[in-house]
Amino acid sequence: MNLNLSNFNENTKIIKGHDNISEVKEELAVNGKEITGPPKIRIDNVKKIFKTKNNKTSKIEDFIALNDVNLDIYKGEFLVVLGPSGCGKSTLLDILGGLSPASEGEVKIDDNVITEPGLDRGIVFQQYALLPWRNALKNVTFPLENNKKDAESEEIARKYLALVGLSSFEDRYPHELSGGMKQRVAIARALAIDPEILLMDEPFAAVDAQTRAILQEDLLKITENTKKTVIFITHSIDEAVFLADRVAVMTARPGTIKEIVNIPFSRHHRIATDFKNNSDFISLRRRVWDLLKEEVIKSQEITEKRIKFEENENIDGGGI
Amino acid sequence: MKLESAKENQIYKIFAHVRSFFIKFIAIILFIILWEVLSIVGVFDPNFISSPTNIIITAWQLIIHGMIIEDILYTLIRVIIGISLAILIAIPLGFLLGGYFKKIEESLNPFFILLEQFNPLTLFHLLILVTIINELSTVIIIYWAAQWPILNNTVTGAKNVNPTYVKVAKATKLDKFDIFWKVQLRSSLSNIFSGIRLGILSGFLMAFGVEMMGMTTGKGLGYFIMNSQMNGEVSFIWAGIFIMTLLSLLITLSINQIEKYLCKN
Repeated sequence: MNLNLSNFNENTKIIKGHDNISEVKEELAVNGKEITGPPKIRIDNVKKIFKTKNNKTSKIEDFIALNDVNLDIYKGEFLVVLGPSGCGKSTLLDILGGLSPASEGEVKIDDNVITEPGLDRGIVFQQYALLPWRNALKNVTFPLENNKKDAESEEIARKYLALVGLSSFEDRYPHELSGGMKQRVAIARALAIDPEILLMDEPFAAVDAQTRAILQEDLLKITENTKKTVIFITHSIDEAVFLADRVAVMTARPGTIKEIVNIPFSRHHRIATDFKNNSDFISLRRRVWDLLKEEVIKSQEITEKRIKFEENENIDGGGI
Repeated sequence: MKLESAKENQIYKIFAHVRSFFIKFIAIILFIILWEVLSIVGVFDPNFISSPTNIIITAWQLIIHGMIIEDILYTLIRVIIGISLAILIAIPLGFLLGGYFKKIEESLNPFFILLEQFNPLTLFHLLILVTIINELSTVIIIYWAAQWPILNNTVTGAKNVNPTYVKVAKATKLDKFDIFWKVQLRSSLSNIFSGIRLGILSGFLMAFGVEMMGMTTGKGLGYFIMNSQMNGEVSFIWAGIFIMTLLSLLITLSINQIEKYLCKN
């Protein structure tokens, strides 16, 4: 595949407005995604301010978590939001989920402004978030119980547990499941309400590396088969590059979108070939890391004293 | 071949049952045997300590001759009413304080700690004056003693509800009542039940305290024990203690069963 990666070290832009829609459509067409119509989700100048108390002066201060976030997400797209820890990724997801309001700006889904949670969005939370007093099946039926009869919701739950490969584990309680299985149940629960949009907040962060690789592949297959629009939050570059159709890189706090990186490979290609060991993958990862590195340093507040290699002149005489 | 192995399996199962039973109750069994042996040998003077067999026989005699049934019922009903009151008041209060009005809880907590330390028995005469009826004052004292552990544990439970669980519920558009019922109450259930178990203990303690002070209408196990003491009926005292221990155990066990039932559903 012919990749134009010549602009690696181009000065990166902070995205102030929305992208040109036709450009994005062209980009996504390379990923094997055909985009029709306007963006499914439109994040418009979203700002989030928390009131916090300063420990020294004990005055109430504004803590700006998100600043001027602009992002378009298209139907059927897998968008990964990547950022350093504490940049407001989870806050952004909470706003998308309708769990907390934006201080300024708005988020629109199909031209409707989000004000509250809705059954058009399924959320997979960090750290599993399964209810420990319910078995796997009952955890999946949890969001269905209010609208459907017991038998019906159990039937749906069984279907989605089968989809994530956990048919024979429906009677198990969360403490009897491994980390990977717990996250599969959480995904089944989010899918059970048949949402158009799947919001995932670092879902694989607590899972070991091997299990994570399997879960990533399965997630790609599931989302491809069910045609969901996915917003996936992570701080792992490998995960972002492997899963995403586009990666939105965020800046350090106050978080805003720094740049959107297109991953010009179809999901099928990513699964079928050994994509993670491919030179394309490595150069993309490199590009994303270059974008992210500066922000990570900023977010850790170690800019003043970066550790340097000591330039030891007489290397031969060094040592013990 | 098959039959034999099935038989073996069954024998093994029975053996496993017996074994787990022994492991569980070996301390109690040894304790009772030691007590009995020491009584027979004569280390324990029957004028002070009755032997286990004697206690059980006396208790049985007292029950079938109807000499203690009324006392048992009085104590039981007082304790049940007192603890039910405590449960009805302390659990909602605990949720209000621990779940919804955390700031008020912060200021009220020290006051509650003070009230908790205060022993209601010392103000019994005042209570009698206020309530006029003796039975009510007994119930109030039991309620007072039982409510603190229930309240404290409910507050802890309500405070420690994992906020992510609430988020999950909110994301699926549950209303406030459903969130309370399906998530907040459910996840603090084990805290609440350990509070209730502690409440039962202190409720019984207070019930016997009041009854032994002889300030009630002359009924109840505590009064029975006190009365037997005055009459020098040592085996009656021990039978009374035996029965009251059984009562407390019975209520705790049934609470455990209720907890098990609720947790399954």
